[in-house]
Amino acid sequence: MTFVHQDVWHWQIAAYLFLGGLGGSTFAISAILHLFEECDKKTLSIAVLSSLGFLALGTIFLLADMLQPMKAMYALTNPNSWIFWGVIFINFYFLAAIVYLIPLLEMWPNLLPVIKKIPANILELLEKFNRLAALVGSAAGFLIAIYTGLLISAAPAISFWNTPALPLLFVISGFSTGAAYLLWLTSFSSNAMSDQVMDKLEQLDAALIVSELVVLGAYFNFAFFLPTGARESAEFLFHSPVFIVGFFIAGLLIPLAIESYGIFFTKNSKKSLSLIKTASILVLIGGFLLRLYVLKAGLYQYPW
Amino acid sequence: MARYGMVIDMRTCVGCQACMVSCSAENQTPFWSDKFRTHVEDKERGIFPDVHRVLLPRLCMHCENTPCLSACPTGATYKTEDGVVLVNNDRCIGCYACCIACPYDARYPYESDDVEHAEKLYGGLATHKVPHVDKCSFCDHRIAQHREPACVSTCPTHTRIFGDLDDPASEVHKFATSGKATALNAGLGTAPKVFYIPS
Amino acid sequence: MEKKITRRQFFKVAGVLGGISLLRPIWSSEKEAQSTQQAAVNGAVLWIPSICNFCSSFCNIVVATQESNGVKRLIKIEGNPESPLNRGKICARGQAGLHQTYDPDRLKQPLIRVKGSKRGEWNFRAATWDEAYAYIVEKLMKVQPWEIAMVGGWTACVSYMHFSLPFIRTLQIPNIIASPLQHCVTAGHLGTDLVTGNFNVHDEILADFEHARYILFSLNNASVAAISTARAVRFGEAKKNGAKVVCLDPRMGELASKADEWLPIQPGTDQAFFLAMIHTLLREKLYDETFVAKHTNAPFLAWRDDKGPVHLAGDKSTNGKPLSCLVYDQISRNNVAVPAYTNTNEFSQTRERLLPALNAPAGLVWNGHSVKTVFDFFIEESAPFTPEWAGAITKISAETIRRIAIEFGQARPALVDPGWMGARYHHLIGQRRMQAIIQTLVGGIDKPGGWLMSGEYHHKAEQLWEHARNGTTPENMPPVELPGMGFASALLDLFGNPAAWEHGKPAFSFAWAMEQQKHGKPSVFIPAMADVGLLEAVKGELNFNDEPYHIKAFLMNAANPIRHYFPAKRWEEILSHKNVELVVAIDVLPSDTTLFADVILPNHTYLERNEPLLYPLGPSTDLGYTTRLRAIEPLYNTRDTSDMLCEIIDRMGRLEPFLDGVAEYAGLDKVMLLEEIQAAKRAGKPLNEAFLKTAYAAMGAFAGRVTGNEMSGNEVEEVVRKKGMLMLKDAASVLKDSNMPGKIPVPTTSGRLELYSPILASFTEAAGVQPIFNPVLGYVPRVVSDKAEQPALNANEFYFTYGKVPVVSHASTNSNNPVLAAVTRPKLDSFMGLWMNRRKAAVLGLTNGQRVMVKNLRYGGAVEATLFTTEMIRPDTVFLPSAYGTHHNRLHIASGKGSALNELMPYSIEPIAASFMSQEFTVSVSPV
Ligand SMILES: Nc1nc2c(c(=O)[nH]1)N[C@H]1C(S)=C(S)[C@@H](COP(=O)(O)OP(=O)(O)OC[C@H]3O[C@@H](n4cnc5c(=O)[nH]c(N)nc54)[C@H](O)[C@@H]3O)O[C@H]1N2
Ligand SMILES: Nc1nc2c(c(=O)[nH]1)N[C@H]1C(S)=C(S)[C@@H](COP(=O)(O)OP(=O)(O)OC[C@H]3O[C@@H](n4cnc5c(=O)[nH]c(N)nc54)[C@H](O)[C@@H]3O)O[C@H]1N2
Ligand code: SF4
Ligand code: SF4
Ligand code: SF4
Ligand code: SF4
Ligand code: SF4
Ligand SMILES: [Mo]
Repeated sequence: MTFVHQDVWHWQIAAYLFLGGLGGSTFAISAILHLFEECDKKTLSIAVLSSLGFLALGTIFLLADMLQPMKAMYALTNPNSWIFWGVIFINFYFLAAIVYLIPLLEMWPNLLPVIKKIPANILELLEKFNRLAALVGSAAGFLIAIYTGLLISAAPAISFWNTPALPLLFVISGFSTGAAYLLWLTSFSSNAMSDQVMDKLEQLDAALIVSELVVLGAYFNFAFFLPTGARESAEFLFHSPVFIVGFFIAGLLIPLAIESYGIFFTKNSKKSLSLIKTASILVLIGGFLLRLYVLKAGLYQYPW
Repeated sequence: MARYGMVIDMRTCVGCQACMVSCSAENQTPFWSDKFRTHVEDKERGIFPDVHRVLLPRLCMHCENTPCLSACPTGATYKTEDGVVLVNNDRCIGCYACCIACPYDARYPYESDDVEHAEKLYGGLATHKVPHVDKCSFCDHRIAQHREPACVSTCPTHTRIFGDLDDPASEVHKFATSGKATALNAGLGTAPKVFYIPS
Repeated sequence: MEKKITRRQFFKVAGVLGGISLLRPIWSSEKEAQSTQQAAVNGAVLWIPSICNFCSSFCNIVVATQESNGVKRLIKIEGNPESPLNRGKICARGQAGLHQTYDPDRLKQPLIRVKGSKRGEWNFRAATWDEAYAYIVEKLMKVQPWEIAMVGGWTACVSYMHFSLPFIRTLQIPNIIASPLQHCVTAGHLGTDLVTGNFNVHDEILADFEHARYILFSLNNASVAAISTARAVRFGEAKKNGAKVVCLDPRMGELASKADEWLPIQPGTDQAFFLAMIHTLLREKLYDETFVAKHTNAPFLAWRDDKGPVHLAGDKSTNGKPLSCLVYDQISRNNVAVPAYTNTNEFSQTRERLLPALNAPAGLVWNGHSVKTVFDFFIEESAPFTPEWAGAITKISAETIRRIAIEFGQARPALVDPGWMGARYHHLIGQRRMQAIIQTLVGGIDKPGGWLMSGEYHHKAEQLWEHARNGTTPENMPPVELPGMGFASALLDLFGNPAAWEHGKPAFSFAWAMEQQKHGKPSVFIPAMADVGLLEAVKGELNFNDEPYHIKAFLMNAANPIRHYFPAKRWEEILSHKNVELVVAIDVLPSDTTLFADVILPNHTYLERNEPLLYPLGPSTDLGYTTRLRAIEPLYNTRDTSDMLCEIIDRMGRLEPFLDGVAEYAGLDKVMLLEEIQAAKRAGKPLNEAFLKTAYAAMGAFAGRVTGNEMSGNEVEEVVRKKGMLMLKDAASVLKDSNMPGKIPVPTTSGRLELYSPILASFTEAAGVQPIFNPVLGYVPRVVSDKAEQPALNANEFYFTYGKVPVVSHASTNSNNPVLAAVTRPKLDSFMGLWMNRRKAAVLGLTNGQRVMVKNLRYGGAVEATLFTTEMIRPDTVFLPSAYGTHHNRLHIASGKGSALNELMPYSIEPIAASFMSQEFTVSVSPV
């Protein structure tokens, strides 16, 4: 039996997985906040716009890593393939996100002339389906986040990946990065509601980090269970300082500490914005490192 | 309809690597980038003097349950009615999902540099004209001409045995059903059509 | 022997090679194939039969070419399925052959050293062929013929022996240095040949693995599994047939990895193992009594003189040749004379039926000597060689040795491989002789599952036997037509005999040996085609009969002595010596040796050329002939070897006598050859094809003599073009009609298999009693130190061993092949590194991949290597892959890779044939 590090997918794909999770969850969280809570429309529109940007960038990373990106449309051939579904989800997402975004943009006076150029009946339709678009986009965003995990879990010989825990981990981590990003974004808002939103996001992120820790615990426990490639992978990660320090300590524990401190010991008014910003950025960096290192730790278990 | 398969008789493989070189010439695999459709593993096990040297030739298993095919979004990876798993070079986008999915390290990318190199080397006779992910084809073009795959036909020690697993008169059937033959990583459920007789 | 329907017959390439499937094809033909391969938009694929040139195994191949944009390209090489030798298979090197032709590093035009530059540096200018020839001939005319030496590698030897021998005879050049002798086959084969009578420079014994039940290997790897394809195909079948395989090797090479039992013997001690086997076989009576009594000299009566040596009883002629031999006949209970030369002991000289005894009754007397049988002497002399004795020497337990001997003796057919490369220890000839004795004792000669003689060899032996029975002498047969020892003595008569030359000078090697003997200094009995005395002759220090014997010019063909002679330094000194006025190298690639040439003549690569003659099918037991056919036109301004030799000799005004010589040696029609050559010259065409055309015609006549069906030259050519060979007789008929020694004598002095060696006896007579010359059983221990008492190894000291890897040949330029280099890369450590036991390395603080210095502790000399630590080797031994270490930077792929074996080697030779003693020292290994 031989364990061999996969040498197929590198940082570009890690970036794709990261941006996919981030973009999908950013949209889903913001749309849901919008649907069920009060929030600042301007910040919301920036959030939605950036989620589009994240996914577009992620897709560029994916295409750049391909041998024949010009033929990417062929990817819509085989529904047994996760990439097929990835493409579907992303396209649904783009459609829904744009439908959802355009009416939001009316918040920006500078953009009004442009928006006014859109025929009124279409704009009306967009307004009408705004909530639906929010729901569809959120669902698609959620699916994208989970798809990033499913994509790499379809590797029978990479036992570290070949587990349902991985999509779960990726979706939780994805939403945590989304929440962190929104937290960071909101911290710039001077809007009255933003403090409340920040509280919510802070709680959400903390909760997600705690769940992520639980899932990680289970995941590594499973990995160490049998003398397989998964154990080798887990050991590899335990021996990677960047993973331990960058992801686990700086990307999970420190933000959790900061956020817990914020939740339990400070009142809204007294919150330190710079601490919050630091925590958010750490979560984002951690999210990328998680994907990068999970890819790096992908060990084929060959029977020879 | 046939069900092509191979038996690798590890009792006789001497690790001469003729199979690799033959396949490379036949299928113009990019040896210049150290890429081959078939490999011969050479592993030592144990402690002197109780040592074993395991020589294990490997190639695509042409899995009956085919993870690479499921992973391939474009349909570039397909299976012929004879069970041979092939890549349609023109349809492949090179997303590597199949490479990640393959449990047997059977695939490699024929990159644009490789295509260029091949053109320089083989001129008008170059067979890989676009970048794609490449793998063993069971030499389907030779099968069509009633010739054994290149690696099989040159193997000096008769280690590689090829044919229709369903044909009771074939040598490969006899070996595959002899009770001695096993599949690699059978637990994964890929149902390989390449079998091994352990040494 | 039953003819097996092999798998290749299932898969004959319909249409392409003209075969018809005997069994139904496994694929239905109607089905349309979906092919990933681009359809042939280019020209049709054309297959041309030929012969591989990547090692001396001489496999039959077919070469595919295809045209694209008007250019014909080589696209694939495969084994020729018609070949009974390699049976449609070829190894990695054979597969990679295409790349030699397309190697950008090739020699593409004649080159002449720039005036003022030194040999050893690459400083050449392009020249025309005319210039190059003029340069060479001018220098050759200035020196005496004996001052010239030809140097040939195996390519030169196998394909052009019928040219080089007439070449030297015509020009009165008594010197050929043939590379595959001193460091390969002389020691490798002479030992077995002392028993079987073989010896035709190359091997004529094919071990019939696939019908054997028990196979014992000693000092084998590349010769079978790593790889000589003809042997590997048979070995593969043997494994499938369930033969038990035992392998003696201090490390686990490819062959040992396939053994059922790997015995990591201490290097250099195999002879003790075999002696103990003989001891056991004789005592357990596990020999084939009938065979031994009938076909060997074991029942011959012999006596021991006071000084120790054993002599055969019987009358001798005045020149010492035996006229008769004696056996003790169990029917008449008498000593009876048997014919001196025949295949069996069943009849007396007067044709009475006999039952010769293997053990003589006590008190038997002949001519006043108390006599016993040779067999009795074997029992007597083998007494001390117990398994316990051998166990202490070999480090293999006595029980194991005894068990293996018994298993071997009980399993019939059992086979001990004859071995191939032998130049390692000064006792190797003796060791190989033991292998042949064991094989003879179990009766496994020319029998299924035993040692089979080649088809061509049977044919030659049959011819000789006919002469013997008709009372004619084969004196007018050219030496190349003589089988075995006959050929060897004819060569000795040529190279070792001053009277064979107009100028009265033998080869410098013999001149050196004779002078050494004259002055009571260490010498060599048969330095045939060896390099002994060469350095002295170059330096002007060799005298023969008080006249100086100098060597001033070298004509080298397909030889790379700077890399594969031992040691490198000696040849560097020889070739760059100021006394040397001319060095010509004929090669296809800029080998390390071409650095030392004055003129480089580029040869066509093997895929671009026809060979000028037809050749037997290597060691195949079938009688058939083959040749190399051009697959594509030469890419560059290169030429055929035969054309080069013709041109040189023509410019020296001796073309016609040379052609007569070639015709005589190769059995060609002189008149036809001359006409064809003249026609080719008039047409301004290469001469090579004129030879081949004449050879086809000669083969047609020869076919008539063998099969009764005469063929025209054109018919022969047609068959050869279609199938790659002309088969005249299959193996089964060969073995049946001319079984050796079942039906006809083997070419030993007595025609029997010689357990007692008259040749060794003659050495004893000349040199006195020494175990190495003992005609019965002598044990000669390995000597790794000059100290009388062999000291124990120091901590970082090891026995040294080396050997070949499957993907390159010797120190050949095929290490420059890009595909072979690519398949080597995953195995760089084991294919190029110095093997050392892992735990032993740990004790020394050495780690895998580390650079180390390997020092020869007996003779000096050192080489750097990369360490490969492994459990697959004895802790007291290191092993170095022998094929690497090229220095010339014009070989862009090979240059600087691995370690040059011959930089560690001493100049150290054994006393029988001047073979190299290339492992008789120890080395230290330390970090660099
Ligand atoms: N270092 C080292 N030395 C060895 C050995 C070893 O393993 N390692 N092995 C020993 C043994 S067993 C043997 S048999 C001898 C063999 O020694 P050789 O018979 O000399 O064989 P090679 O080393 O294969 O080739 C010698 C030269 O032939 C050239 N050559 C190749 N093809 C052609 C051709 O078509 N035409 C011409 N004109 N030249 C050609 C090559 O470029 C090379 O320079 O070496 C012995 N010496
Ligand atoms: N790939 C390849 N194949 C070749 C050739 C080639 O150049 N390359 N050349 C051909 C030719 S010309 C020849 S001569 C043959 C040579 O083929 P072989 O005669 O088989 O020689 P090697 O493979 O060099 O060495 C054989 C083995 O001997 C072991 N050995 C070393 N010392 C001792 C010892 O004292 N006792 C025992 N028992 N074993 C020992 C080594 O570990 C090695 O594994 O190969 C032929 N086939
Ligand atoms: S050609 Fe045959 S014997 Fe040689 S390495 Fe390949 S499978 Fe093994
Ligand atoms: S071995 Fe790999 S490439 Fe071949 S069929 Fe199976 S999964 Fe696909
Ligand atoms: S790389 Fe090509 S063959 Fe592989 S999954 Fe992607 S499209 Fe299919
Ligand atoms: S079957 Fe053909 S493509 Fe596959 S490994 Fe063998 S030679 Fe290569
Ligand atoms: S054994 Fe390999 S290199 Fe040697 S002649 Fe045969 S195919 Fe060529
Ligand atoms: Mo050799």
